[in-house]
Amino acid sequence: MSLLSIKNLRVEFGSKAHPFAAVDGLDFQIDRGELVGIVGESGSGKSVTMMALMGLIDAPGRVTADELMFDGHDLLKLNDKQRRAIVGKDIAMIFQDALTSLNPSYTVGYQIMESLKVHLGLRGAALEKRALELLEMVEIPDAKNRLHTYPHQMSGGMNQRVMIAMAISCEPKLLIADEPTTALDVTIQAQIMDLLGRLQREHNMGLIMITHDLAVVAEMARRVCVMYAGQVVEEQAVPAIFNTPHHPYTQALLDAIPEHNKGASRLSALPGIVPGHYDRPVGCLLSPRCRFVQDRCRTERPPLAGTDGRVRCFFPLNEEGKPAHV
Amino acid sequence: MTTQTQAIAEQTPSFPSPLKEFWQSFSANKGALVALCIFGVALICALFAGFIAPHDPVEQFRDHMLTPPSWQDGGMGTYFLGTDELGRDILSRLIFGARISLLIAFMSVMMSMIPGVVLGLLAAFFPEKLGTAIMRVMDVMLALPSLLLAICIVTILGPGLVNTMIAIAIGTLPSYTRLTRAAAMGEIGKEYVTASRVAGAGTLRLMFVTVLPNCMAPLIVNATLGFSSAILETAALGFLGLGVQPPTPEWGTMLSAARDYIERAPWVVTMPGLTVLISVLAINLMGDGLRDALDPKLKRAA
Repeated sequence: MSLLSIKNLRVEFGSKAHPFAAVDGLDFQIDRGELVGIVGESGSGKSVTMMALMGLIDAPGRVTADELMFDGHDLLKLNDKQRRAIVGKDIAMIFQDALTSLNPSYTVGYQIMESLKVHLGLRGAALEKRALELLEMVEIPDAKNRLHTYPHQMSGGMNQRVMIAMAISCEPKLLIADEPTTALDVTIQAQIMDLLGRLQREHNMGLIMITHDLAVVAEMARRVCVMYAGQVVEEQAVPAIFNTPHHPYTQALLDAIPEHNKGASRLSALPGIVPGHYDRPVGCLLSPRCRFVQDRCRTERPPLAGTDGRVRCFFPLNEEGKPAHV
Repeated sequence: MTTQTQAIAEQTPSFPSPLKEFWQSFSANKGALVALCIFGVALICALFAGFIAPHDPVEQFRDHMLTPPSWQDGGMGTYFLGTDELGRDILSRLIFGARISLLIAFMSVMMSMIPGVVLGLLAAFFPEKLGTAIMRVMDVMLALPSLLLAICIVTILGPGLVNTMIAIAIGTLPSYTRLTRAAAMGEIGKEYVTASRVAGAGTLRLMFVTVLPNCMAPLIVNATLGFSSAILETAALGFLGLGVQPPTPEWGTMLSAARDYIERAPWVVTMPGLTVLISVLAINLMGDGLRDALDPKLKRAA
């Protein structure tokens, strides 16, 4: 049985008469100890999915799903209090900007100890020892003194390490990292990614890595989900997805990586932006931006199908990176 | 890695404690420092009035009515600032008056800040219905001039010490509510609040433990400035005869009683007036200094 299983998740905003589905019909699974990457450009619904999973979508947002199972608990049926006992202890999250994700009014040590107190019931010396242990686990130098510093007194990389320490403090079964390295510079990015990978293996956590940096998932993830406009458009194992992307959107994302454009005078880019509330196409959501668009794409929405990975396209790309009919 | 870690460890700077950091930037403002000293003197007078005051504030020295201050012709050493129309020592009355004024100011600030903060947080966390309701009521209260509102409330409740506090507190309630709501709404959008929710914090905890401490800077400044306006309003109500009742020594009441003698004995009205002026000025300067120290963004803008 998988650790987390989401079936047909839908998150809507706006009025009931004209709803806007930020996430539409999303299926997703992750096993214990697995590392799955979710990629997609801004506005494709990656973060909203995770917020919905943790019950953080407030009215007027609406969340519906056929199934939302985590570790044997049906998250849809839990009340607020039961959900809080699971979220935070068994599911933890790391955010994009560590400086704003830590409360500026409290010391780093206090914030780490807070959830240890609530979820694990630690007190006194044991509490302090565990907090220190966690800071050392995320390789913060001089951890003892750092316990008493405030977030603004530390660098972004240090703050992100503290965030990670807080997230793993209760040994969660599932860790969600929402663009954990976007706000950091490249050298620190590599360190943080290494750290996350190591902790994931050591603690046998499920790790969902949300990112728009394909290089990040190429190195670490076992499987990648590509999201576009609130839908999963392709799901494949690594490295197959990088060698033979089946969806034109995945191909476009890969083409946009600077290393794949050596010798070109301009980087190749996908024209246009993710469709919003008022410009949703009738057919395939990518149809206005797709290189290989056909008449059928403009009128019908393709289902997510396929055996070797899943792809949401009527004309999946072959090994040569072209649809079968071309 | 370990040697490298140790090398970095030795470089870890020791940060000043938040209190020390605050004091450093507060004491850089000399005006605020002087104001703090004046406020300290007023506070000591209020706390130890019984020991400091040379005479009983209500004792009437009938032989020495309207004695001028000691440095004027006819002044007497024992009545340093002179006596009033009933022969009471003005200095002693001012010292005991500090007690009443500061007590009323402190209590009314507390009585408006605590409910104001709670209402403001509620309005920020439940913006849909409760928040709208709270803010509309506050708008109505803001539409009335605060002194007029205070006079109305005192007229209904009757004059007296406690009723003065209540009247002033109700008048300043909207400003705390609005301030807290604005600050809290700014903070709620930040990621650390979401992080706190992910960690399993309930609404009450989010309100008072997570968000409130980050909204304190403007509230502290507003409370300090509210302190001075409360002293002014107490004096104004006292002057109108709606505040603290005689014979309790209170600065506004003293001003009001003395205005009949403004030509014959100007010191009787000057001394309480100057006291109100100096204490209000000092508290305002202190509030400015606090704002600069607590909110560095405003300082750079100024």
